[in-house]
Amino acid sequence: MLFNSIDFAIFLPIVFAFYWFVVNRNLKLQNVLIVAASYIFYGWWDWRFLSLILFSTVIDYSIGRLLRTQENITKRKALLWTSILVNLGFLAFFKYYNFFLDNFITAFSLFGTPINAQGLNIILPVGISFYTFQTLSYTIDVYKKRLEPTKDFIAFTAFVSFFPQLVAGPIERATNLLPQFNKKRVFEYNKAVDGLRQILWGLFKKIVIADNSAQIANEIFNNSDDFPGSTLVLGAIFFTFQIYGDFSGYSDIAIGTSRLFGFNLKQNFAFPYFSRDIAEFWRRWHISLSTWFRDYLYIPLGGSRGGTWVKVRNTFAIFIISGFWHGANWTFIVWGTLNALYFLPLLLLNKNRMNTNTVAQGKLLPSFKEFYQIVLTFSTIILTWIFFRAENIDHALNYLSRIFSKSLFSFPNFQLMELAFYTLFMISIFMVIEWLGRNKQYALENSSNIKSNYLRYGLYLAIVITIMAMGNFNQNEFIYFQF
Amino acid sequence: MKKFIFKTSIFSVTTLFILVSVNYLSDSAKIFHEGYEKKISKIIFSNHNATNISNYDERILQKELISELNSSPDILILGSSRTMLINSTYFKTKKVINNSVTGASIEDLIAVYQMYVAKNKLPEKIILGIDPWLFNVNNGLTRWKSLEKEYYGFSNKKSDLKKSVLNNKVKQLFSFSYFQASFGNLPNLINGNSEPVSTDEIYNQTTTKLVDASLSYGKKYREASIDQVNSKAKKYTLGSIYSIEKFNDISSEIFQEFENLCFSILQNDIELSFFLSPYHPIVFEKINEDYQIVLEVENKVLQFANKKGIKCLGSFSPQKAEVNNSDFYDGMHCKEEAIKKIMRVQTNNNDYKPIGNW
Repeated sequence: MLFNSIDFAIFLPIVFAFYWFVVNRNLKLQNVLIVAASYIFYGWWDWRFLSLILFSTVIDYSIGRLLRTQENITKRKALLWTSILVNLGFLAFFKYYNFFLDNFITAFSLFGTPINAQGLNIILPVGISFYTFQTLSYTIDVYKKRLEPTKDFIAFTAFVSFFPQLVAGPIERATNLLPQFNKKRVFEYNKAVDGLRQILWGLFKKIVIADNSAQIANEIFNNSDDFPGSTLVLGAIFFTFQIYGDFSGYSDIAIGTSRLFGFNLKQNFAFPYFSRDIAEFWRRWHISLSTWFRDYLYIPLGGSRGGTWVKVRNTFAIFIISGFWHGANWTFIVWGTLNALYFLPLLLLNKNRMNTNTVAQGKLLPSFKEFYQIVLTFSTIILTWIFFRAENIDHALNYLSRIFSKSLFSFPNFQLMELAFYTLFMISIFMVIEWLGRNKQYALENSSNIKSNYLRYGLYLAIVITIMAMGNFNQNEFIYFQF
Repeated sequence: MKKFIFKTSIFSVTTLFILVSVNYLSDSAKIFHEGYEKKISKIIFSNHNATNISNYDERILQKELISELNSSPDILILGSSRTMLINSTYFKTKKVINNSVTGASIEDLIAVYQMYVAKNKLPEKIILGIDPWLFNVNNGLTRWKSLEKEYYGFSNKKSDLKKSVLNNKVKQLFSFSYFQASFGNLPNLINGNSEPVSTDEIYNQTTTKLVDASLSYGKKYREASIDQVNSKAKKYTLGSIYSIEKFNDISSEIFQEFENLCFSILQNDIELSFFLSPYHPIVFEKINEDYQIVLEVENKVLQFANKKGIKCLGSFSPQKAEVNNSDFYDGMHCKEEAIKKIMRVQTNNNDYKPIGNW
């Protein structure tokens, strides 16, 4: 079920009504309702893959229970590795099987040994990368004794399959989300209103910014050989806003929906396009994934505590694996490598934590230096997105070579120029609102400070009308569903 | 909780109210407000051209025009926007009417013809515009439903007309897509610019329906340079070609309907000609590469015409129709001069003959 569909617009109020009016007195029943709603939500897309989620849930719940009583280190390790192998095994099979097979065949062909092997026609289960990492975090935390394993199977099932964040995150840690299923939830007016506000902002990002940008980016990327460099730059810029609007929009809707049910999820995007360097960008973009890799991969590998070689190795490891997590394509690996190359100088010069505060804190506008840093970082990020969006490495390189040619100085020209103009206009307004709310969890949170009811509701109504008047209602899937 | 439910309900109702109000009041396609087409028709029957016209139901306009006719036409032009520019100045005879509608499907052609049959005002000659999408079962064209009754009248089929019209109206009332179109129309509604304007000029700023129900394009469209038109055609080939996507084979059912229409015309002693409007050379190159089915349509129609002794004018191919890049307004619409060339029009400087004078 898509957040931007009529189905969800009907589903959400029904679940909300049952949750707060029918089963509100019983925590267990509320959790059962969440599990049922989550399985319906996921099954709406393809019910067959519910068995995968259920299997992961049973395995990790059981391993958690066994870890509770097991003190023998070897056996504990064996249990941990069972969970890792099962979860990553599913992920590897569904997401990477054909990729590895293709590359295996190509590699052997290079040595003059052609192999005939057929790839499998595998459907990638939506959200598998997200819930796999979420359940893994539980087992690792229990193994490390950071978390007491839960006895409550229903609560654990609800934690793994919680519908607002099941298919595209944020990837929640068991330490944050799981205890919330064991605590009585009381309806809080302010929290629910805040949730609705964040949903509204997420829908704006998705339907107005991302889906309109997508139309333009798709046309330009799909026909990149026909366009001059200047148009290709526009295509890359539109994709930059598409992916941000799409993914952070999804996170906003997920967090907002959770708040309607009394849950708090962690912030997943903290205005990344206002970052002053790439290190800051990675502290602000897809925070739940970055911190997952930091805590479960980077730090166990030694983090930045070792010598230069360890730092370099760990940085490349985390970025390349992060790239590969996004998809079984060399383009994602190059994307990860490029980010590592951007990041590494900052790390080696100990400048990676220079910009940890909010940019231009307490000021209306950034200083010239800050502005320059933001523009520079933003430009380098745009270049990396080209690899992320391209069909393959050749496409990306060809795209870049056309950008850096004489045609860069021609006037952009393509079929959707009119749409491009008004989408750029909407993006400008969007970025102004984002800038004004950059010290909050999400940009529209600031609007709660508007004292006048008329003004505040007028603003919300204006956003609703903008979505209706300028949105793209083709119910486009969220990009991160494929990851 | 009560406060939350109350406030969200008020907000939701307000949002719905705005959606429905804009869709109903601005009504970009004039679904909820009848009479716009009548106003255009009145202007035409008062022997003036109607300009500043947009987003109206062309099918309903044809219905209005035909219902007001006092006598039978000599020449009737049926087809799509690709035949809409054929006008009365091309003919010596006085009574010419162009009943073409944008994106005409076989149902449109049948329905408009059926209106003449029902009114017993059959013409002496019909020029039938043939477009490739006529025979594509996946052409996605549904606008003919405004003339559903007339279409089913031809074949004596039954339709669930009331139900579908009602469903469509309710759907559009709550439609976001319709809201987008209607919202864009709001400034015109507020400024009072949404009504058709009567004029004696043939060429105006916006599209104009002329006194013989043919069309003349707005200034910007007419004055596009060859480069601009080439660019339009190129862009057109980057997207999907109008209504010929998923065109895998010529629908035998639709071709049967087409034959039935032709047989009925011929049985009524009406002279019949086919007009095949060419595509822009850039677009046709694309058609040649990716849409061979279009060429099959032309062959099949030509064979049928030969067999029945029906005169065929033009071709989808610009080479065969002997037109070039300078003969187009865009990727699929020829200029008047090109049409005259294809129709081998001998007479020049004739006046437009108003249907109001018949």
